[in-house]
Amino acid sequence: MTTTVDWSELQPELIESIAHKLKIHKDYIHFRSVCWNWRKSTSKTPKHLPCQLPWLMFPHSSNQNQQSHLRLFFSLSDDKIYRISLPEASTIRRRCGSSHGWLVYLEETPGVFVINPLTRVKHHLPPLCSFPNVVNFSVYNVGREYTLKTVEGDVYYTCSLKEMRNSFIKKVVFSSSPSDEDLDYYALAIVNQTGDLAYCRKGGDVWRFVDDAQLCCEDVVFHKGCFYAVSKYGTIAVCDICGDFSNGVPNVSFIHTQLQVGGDMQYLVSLGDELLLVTRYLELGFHAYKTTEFRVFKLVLKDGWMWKSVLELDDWALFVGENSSVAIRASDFEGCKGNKIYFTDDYSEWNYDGANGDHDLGVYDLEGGSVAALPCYTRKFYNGRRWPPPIWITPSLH
Amino acid sequence: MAEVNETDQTPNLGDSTTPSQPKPEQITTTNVAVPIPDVGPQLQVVVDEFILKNGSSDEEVRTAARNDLRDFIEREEIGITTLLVVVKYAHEFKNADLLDAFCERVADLIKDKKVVGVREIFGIVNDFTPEEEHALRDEHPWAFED
Repeated sequence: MTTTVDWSELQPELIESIAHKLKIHKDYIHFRSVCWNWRKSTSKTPKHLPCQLPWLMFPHSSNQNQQSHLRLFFSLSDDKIYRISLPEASTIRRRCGSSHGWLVYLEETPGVFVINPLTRVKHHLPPLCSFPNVVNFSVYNVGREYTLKTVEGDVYYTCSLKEMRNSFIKKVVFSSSPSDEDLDYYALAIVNQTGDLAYCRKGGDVWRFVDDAQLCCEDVVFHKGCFYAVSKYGTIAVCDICGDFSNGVPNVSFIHTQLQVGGDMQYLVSLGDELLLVTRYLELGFHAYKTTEFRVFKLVLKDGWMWKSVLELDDWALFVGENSSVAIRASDFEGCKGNKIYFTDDYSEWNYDGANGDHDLGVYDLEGGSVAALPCYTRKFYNGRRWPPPIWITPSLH
Repeated sequence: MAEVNETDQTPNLGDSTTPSQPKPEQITTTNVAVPIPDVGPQLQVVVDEFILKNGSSDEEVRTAARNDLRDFIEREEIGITTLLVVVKYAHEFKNADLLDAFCERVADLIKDKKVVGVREIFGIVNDFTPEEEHALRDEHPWAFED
């Protein structure tokens, strides 16, 4: 055996083995800052880190002039607010997705881009004018830049740049991180106006529609290699988009369940091998609304497919809202409690029309059936509805 | 010439044997005893027992062995001097499971610490220049806020 060496001079594989045992991104970043050898022996974009506990991205701060490129992110585990420079997230842009640590932005051009706030790496998705129902785009038609056609193909209508930015897309979800060199990512978008599902692939030029899936437009999640989309009543469209399909058309199958009635919004959550349906109940008042309840179900096959009631989640915590839903094991992270649903404001129509009151976000306790405020939203922090609504993001180093 | 215990029979109780130049590529990972110099006999016993049980064909025995080792490491709060020796030997003898358990302990000592804290614990000298340190902090400024 060689003579004693110190910790900084370990072999690279040994250093890497130790680094692989770190499960929190902050610890991993610190590890790489200890000394040269530790830094050289570890990857800048580690793939071994598990999905991190989501941060809450705050709305723009009220004093726009001061350091307006800084965006605030609240960390539940550290109980502190991080300021991250993200000039790309400016007020004229609209965010329509938070998936694998990446945010999807639309603006007053047809461009669609995704950005990772931690790495500031940016990728472009095919533009809005490449959607199958967009027949024409011209900047010269001021106020009517986009020409779209309806599903039947017979009626044409126009949309302005702002309208397209604000209401064309409901949500974009990814199959994997856009920066993962080992995997080609796929993106699935829920089109608001028609309920269509559109997909594209890494490096693709156009968005394509998934045929016949218009009803399943409440929420989408990537689960067991496919995109699962749900309708208001619990019907699932299973879209097998990844990989090559022989006739150029992806395989879509449907799971018809017993009708789910009740509730105002539906979310799908992938929890290991299980697919969960999370139904959100809102209390609608005069120009105001708030969430009062969540009910959770899991998809089971028993005399046909059905959504079976789930009364407790044990150690699991769910994060829902405008983001791509995630399930986190609470015991893996400080500051996260199991059997709870952490939710943000997602009633998008009302967010645009200037509803009253505060943002509808908080923590729902499945055991007691009660809603509590998030730790960062103390009484004095509430100051009405600010743009954009807060959103969950799972911070990722790649 | 010292002997290396290459069977999964009775563990080598406390004899500090020096390895006779084993060729790592030829040795299987689980069953070979890993004699570790300069650590107390108690730890050697635990390591030997772990290796013995981890070589079992019974999954439950193996799982119990791993849990016992983890419990021991946590209970004894194995310090960095011992850790350094053990991980190097586990690595040299290519015993992945043994390495795994002790790397976990190393990681526990790193968790939640600031960079200077980690350097202090492990006795590592900062070999970045101030400019280099500034640059690497700039990659993720949020992670270095105090």
